[in-house]
Amino acid sequence: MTNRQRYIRAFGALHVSPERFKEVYSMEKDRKTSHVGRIALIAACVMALLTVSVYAANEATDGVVFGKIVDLVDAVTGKLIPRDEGYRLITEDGRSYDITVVTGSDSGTSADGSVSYQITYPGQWDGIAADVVTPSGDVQK
Amino acid sequence: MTEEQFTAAVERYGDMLYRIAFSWCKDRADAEDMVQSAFLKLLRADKSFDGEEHMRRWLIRVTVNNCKKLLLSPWRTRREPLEDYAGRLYADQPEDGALFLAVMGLPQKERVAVHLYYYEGYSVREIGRLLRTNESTIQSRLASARKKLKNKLKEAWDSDE
Repeated sequence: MTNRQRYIRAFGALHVSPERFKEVYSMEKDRKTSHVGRIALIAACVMALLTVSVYAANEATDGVVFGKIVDLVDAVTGKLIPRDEGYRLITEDGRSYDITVVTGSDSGTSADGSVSYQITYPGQWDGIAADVVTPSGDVQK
Repeated sequence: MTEEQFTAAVERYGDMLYRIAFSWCKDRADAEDMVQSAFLKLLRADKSFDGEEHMRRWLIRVTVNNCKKLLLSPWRTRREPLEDYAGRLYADQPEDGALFLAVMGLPQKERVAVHLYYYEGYSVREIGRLLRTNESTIQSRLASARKKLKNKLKEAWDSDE
């Protein structure tokens, strides 16, 4: 008998317990499943948050004035009057809103209560200087 | 990797990896842990192999790396006396038990080289690649191990090979 044959016979007695590995696959599968489950749960939560955000954003943008103000005109006379109260805010896209207060940089709610607005404008007020209107975030529809 | 593929790999390579791990760790529980870690890595790696030999060598490398890490770890408290294990394994073949204990009495680096050479049938060059060690170093480890085994086992171990 050669050394190799002796060696193989001696060390052939060493066997790993197969029982030990029966559960390994299922345990790993469970781990992966729970990992995937956690990812799915997190993804669902993120999607839910995004959905809520989008919904809120939709709600917020619905009826809110965006864009550059073209004119601020007197709601009654139609003249460009850049002070006092009772003005109509007309945006680039043609929408118009009756607003009650515009002084320098201001915010408020349109007269009919449909829009909350915030306006800032640079420099001299000439009736078309206001250039930013942003949603206030608490739109009343 | 499917459950069938995994089971087949365990059946095909489980004992081989266990013997290699045992030749490093000299402890049944540690060796089983090392083999389990290797198979877990196989599952998690989800690796495609270029054939059976590729997978076999990959598993050996992973097991060897696991064993190296284990030997560096200070948390090796479980110890079953080697003689007790040998006593159970070789109750009916005391000669085999003597060889087993003689190999286990070799320095760790020599044990592993001897095992890969005699049991797994790898060449010196292949062992060098598996252990990332110079061929001549493997050759000298084998020569040293053979000499020690011959001294311990007397006529039961030839000076051939």
